[in-house]
Amino acid sequence: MVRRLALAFLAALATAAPAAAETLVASVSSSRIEISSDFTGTTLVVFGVIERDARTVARPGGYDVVVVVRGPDEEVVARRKQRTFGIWVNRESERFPEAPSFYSVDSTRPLDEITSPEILSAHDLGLRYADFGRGPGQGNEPFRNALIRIRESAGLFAERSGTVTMLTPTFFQVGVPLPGTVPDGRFTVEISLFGDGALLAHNIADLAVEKSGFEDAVHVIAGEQPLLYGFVVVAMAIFAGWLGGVVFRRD
Amino acid sequence: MEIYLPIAETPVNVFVIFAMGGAVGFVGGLLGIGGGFLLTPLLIFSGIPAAVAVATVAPQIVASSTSGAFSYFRRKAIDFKLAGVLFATGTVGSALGAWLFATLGRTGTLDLVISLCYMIFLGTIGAIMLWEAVRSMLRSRRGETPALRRPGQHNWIHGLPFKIRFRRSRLYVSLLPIAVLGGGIGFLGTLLGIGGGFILVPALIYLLRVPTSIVIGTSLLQTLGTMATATVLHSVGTGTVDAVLALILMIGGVIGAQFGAQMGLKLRGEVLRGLMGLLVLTVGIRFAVELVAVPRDMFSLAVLAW
Repeated sequence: MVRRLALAFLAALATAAPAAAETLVASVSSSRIEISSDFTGTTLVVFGVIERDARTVARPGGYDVVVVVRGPDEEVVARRKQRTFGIWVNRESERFPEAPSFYSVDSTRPLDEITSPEILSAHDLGLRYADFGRGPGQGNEPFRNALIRIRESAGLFAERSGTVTMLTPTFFQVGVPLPGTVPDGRFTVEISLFGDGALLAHNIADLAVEKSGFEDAVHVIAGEQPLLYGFVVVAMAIFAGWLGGVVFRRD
Repeated sequence: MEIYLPIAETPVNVFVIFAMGGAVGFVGGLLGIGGGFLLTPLLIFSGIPAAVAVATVAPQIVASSTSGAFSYFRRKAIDFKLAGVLFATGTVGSALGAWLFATLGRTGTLDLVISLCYMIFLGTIGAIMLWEAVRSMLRSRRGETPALRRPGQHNWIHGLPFKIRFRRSRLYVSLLPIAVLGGGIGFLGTLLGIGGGFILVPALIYLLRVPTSIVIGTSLLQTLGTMATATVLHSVGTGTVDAVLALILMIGGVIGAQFGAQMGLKLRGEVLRGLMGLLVLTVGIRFAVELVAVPRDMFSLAVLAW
């Protein structure tokens, strides 16, 4: 038992040792994005430098960088329609308790070429490996694939390779597009540095996507004061109707 | 010009929505209806979630019926007591409708029920209207004067108990049919996002024999009340009322309705009814096609909790 623990400790040291050699210094172009009424999407620029020191081993294979932008998790249900008495009805369903509302992966090369599937799933990297509260291969593949496909076509999920560019061997940059439908909430920007198939360094930055101005006020009031909100909307409707009646009065 | 809808959580083109509100307002003004049964499907077909479309059309109907109700109020063509009874029972129906709406939303059957109801409902009513209008057009072409139906002053409805008197309508009828009518329209209106004027008006005329001069104003007031209730209930129940979407629709609708009403004065009655029947039937068929046709995507997603 003690020997096994000691071995595990040594193994951990061995994998951790190269990670201490490179450090990752990264930043995002803005840590706060406002969704206002004219918001139709924006691009988040993520850039960083891989710092090496004298002890750092040479990496003839170069570095790979993977950038994951992840929105707040939600509980999502995927439903499948089946023909019942001639019409199409939702029948089977599958819940995903921790599906991200936004998930995009950008990398220097296709993920499979960067590292092994085990490491990818351990770190939630890539649409095929990320955990949505129901990991892959639990008999829910069709629903999982549907979740990914629908969110991909809505622009909420994306996996792009070759988008992270190395401007110099140690300086990288990527522009992550955020569509007009991007949800609000606390996002994370995860930057992972790979070399020779191993995860060398890891960096997480926070990103706040906030509704601003009038839309935000509407959203907040509707959520927190639904009764007041309802009455205000009715009052607005009656006023608009009355005004229309007065402006266009003919009798 | 794109604008972000805070509740539907999607950007839309202001002018497209404005034009939609205007077009439905125009048709509504032309035919003397609120147009909720057109606007709700139009929003659904253009990609607004069904729940948001239904709940947001409610305040739009409030706005359009307010402008109408004011002008009938000035002409004193409203039976407040009748509207009050319809509204009171309508509130009960609304509450039931809002409850069912929220329940169906949770189980993932809301879209299906909305489509089914629209198909059955609009298909039947559209077919009847179209048939009736075509028949009367053919009759007038053959030179026959339509037989003036002079129904007796009383039908079976007037034999029911719990009678009360409505002075303004010169009516003495049972509460029961009024309660069923008000409650039913409140229920359907809240569930489907329709004002129900196109059912209430004929029902008041043919079933209750309310004088035609008073019917429209009274119906408008009832619609206003029921849809205002529906707006509040949807806000509290499912939080799907989008104030920004509603506002754009209202402005378009109020303006469109004015032009529609002017145009309506120039068209013949049966032509109008025929047009309306055709329109209602088309929307019904559109829903039927949607239900029967192989869906483009078998799968759908719904967010249950944040």
